Amino acid sequence: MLKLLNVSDEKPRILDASNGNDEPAMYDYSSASISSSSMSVTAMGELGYGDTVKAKGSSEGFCYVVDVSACTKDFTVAEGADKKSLILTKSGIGFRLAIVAWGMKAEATANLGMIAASVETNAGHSQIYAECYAKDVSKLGMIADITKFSGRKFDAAAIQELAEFVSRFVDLIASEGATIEPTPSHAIVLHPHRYQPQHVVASNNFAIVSLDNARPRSYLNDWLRVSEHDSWQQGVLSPVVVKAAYEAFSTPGYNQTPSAADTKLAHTLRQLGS
Amino acid sequence: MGTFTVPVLPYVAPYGGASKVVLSLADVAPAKNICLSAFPDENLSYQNAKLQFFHTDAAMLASLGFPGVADSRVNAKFFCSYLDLMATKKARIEPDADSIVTGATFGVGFRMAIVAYGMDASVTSSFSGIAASAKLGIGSTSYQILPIGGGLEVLRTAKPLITNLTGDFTIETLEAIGAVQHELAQLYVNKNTRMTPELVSVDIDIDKLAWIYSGGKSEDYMHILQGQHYALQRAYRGESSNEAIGHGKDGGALWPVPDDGAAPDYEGIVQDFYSRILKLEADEKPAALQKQIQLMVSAGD
Repeated sequence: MLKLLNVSDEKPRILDASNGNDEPAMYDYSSASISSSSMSVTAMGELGYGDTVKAKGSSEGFCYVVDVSACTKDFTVAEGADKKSLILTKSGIGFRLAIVAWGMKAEATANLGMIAASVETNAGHSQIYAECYAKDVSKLGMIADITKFSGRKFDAAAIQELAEFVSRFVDLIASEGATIEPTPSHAIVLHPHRYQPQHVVASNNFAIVSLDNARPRSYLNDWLRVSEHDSWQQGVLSPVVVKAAYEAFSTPGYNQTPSAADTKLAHTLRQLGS
Repeated sequence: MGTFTVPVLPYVAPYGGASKVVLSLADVAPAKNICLSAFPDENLSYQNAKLQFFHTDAAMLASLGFPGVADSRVNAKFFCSYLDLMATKKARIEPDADSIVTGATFGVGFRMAIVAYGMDASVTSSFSGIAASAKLGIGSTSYQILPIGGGLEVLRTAKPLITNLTGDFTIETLEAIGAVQHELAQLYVNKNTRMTPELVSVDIDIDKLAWIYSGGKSEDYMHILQGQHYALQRAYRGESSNEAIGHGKDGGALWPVPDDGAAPDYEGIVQDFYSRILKLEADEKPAALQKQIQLMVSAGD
């Protein structure tokens, strides 16, 4: 799960960081992305926009964060406070717009274009909060002007200007990216469930039962979504192990229905020891 | 028996006492068995370039790096899918006796998550159907792009797509994809372009996997499925390792019969199940472990 970090924090919450890559290559921007995430009020608060949202005081509000960034390929690895998850922190430069929209129908918020259209036609209200980030934001040049968006409404003109900023940003990275020092900006939280032999047996058994019932491998997702199966939802069943068992039965496709021969074989296997 | 391919996240890092661990495989085998010492050969050309369309769900999109792209508050049924526009190449891999990872594919390109709201299932089966419906104002869409691998040149190619991200996924978006596809092709045809491919999938040796899962008793995955299923069922019935093996030899409980002549070491697999997985002595009954055994037995029921 990719998370945005609060770039105003002095230090991201990391216990013990070690370099995950053997070759430190400073300022080598290998990925640029633009994401617009709908967020809860709490998540907005964690990113440092808490007061913003509270000020609007509306339970009908829709919160979006548009993050335009480029990250270097290096990352640091740290263990999460729960001692289970791993937090990979990436550093980058870029800018963010936090958009709070209220007074509009949920159906009209599927994408930012629709929100802007609602605002444009006075079918709702919105407000933008903008910030840019880098180790030294003065290096961002014209991108720093994004902060002028703060306080504006998110309408058609704003979208047009946003597109210009994205375009400028891509050019900036391509021409001067190597000289701009990044700041910790994104975290990827991984939950690598540690290998446990009992979980492998459970995953294999899942595959045998599913094959016996002529279910494709994709059934794992459906099965885990059933609330009575919550004991298995904590990473007990591994999709890769289930795949290995399906491979052993020569049913490799994700949506492939097992053949009659495989179903029969699984049925015979399932009787073993009974 | 061979290998099978699984998509992975590109993160390879020290973990669990080993270096260069493919973190996505942490639940599959011990850390020392999932290491990857591979790197894409710069002189090797990209062997495969294609555009692929996949159906998926919101949870999978989140794990692929698109959190919050599907907004469940939009009050309509929604379909999640993603497009991969990628050129890939196999990496040279250093032989490693321990690792189950025997191949690695690196790619460069884009992954695009598309969410369609309020559309009929018949049109969401293809990306052109989604684009056409959005163009006609039937339902609505949102989409996001994640570059896979990269380098500065790759960023430029994506510009027409990323400057358009605030709108619907329409026919115009498809045109932009076509243009980007062409630009990207120019990049990898020209080998002098600096591109940094990223790990996208690995090949896993299923025989080595069987060897690990059976505690070194068999290299045949089917044999361990049979032997361990037998042992699991006997343990579920409260038998010790010795009792389960004795029972099997008596022919009383459908001891797996080899079909290819080579007699598998079922006895070894059953012993390993009790000693390594359940941590029981040969004549110890698994009464205290019923909760764990129940979890294994009823998976999938």
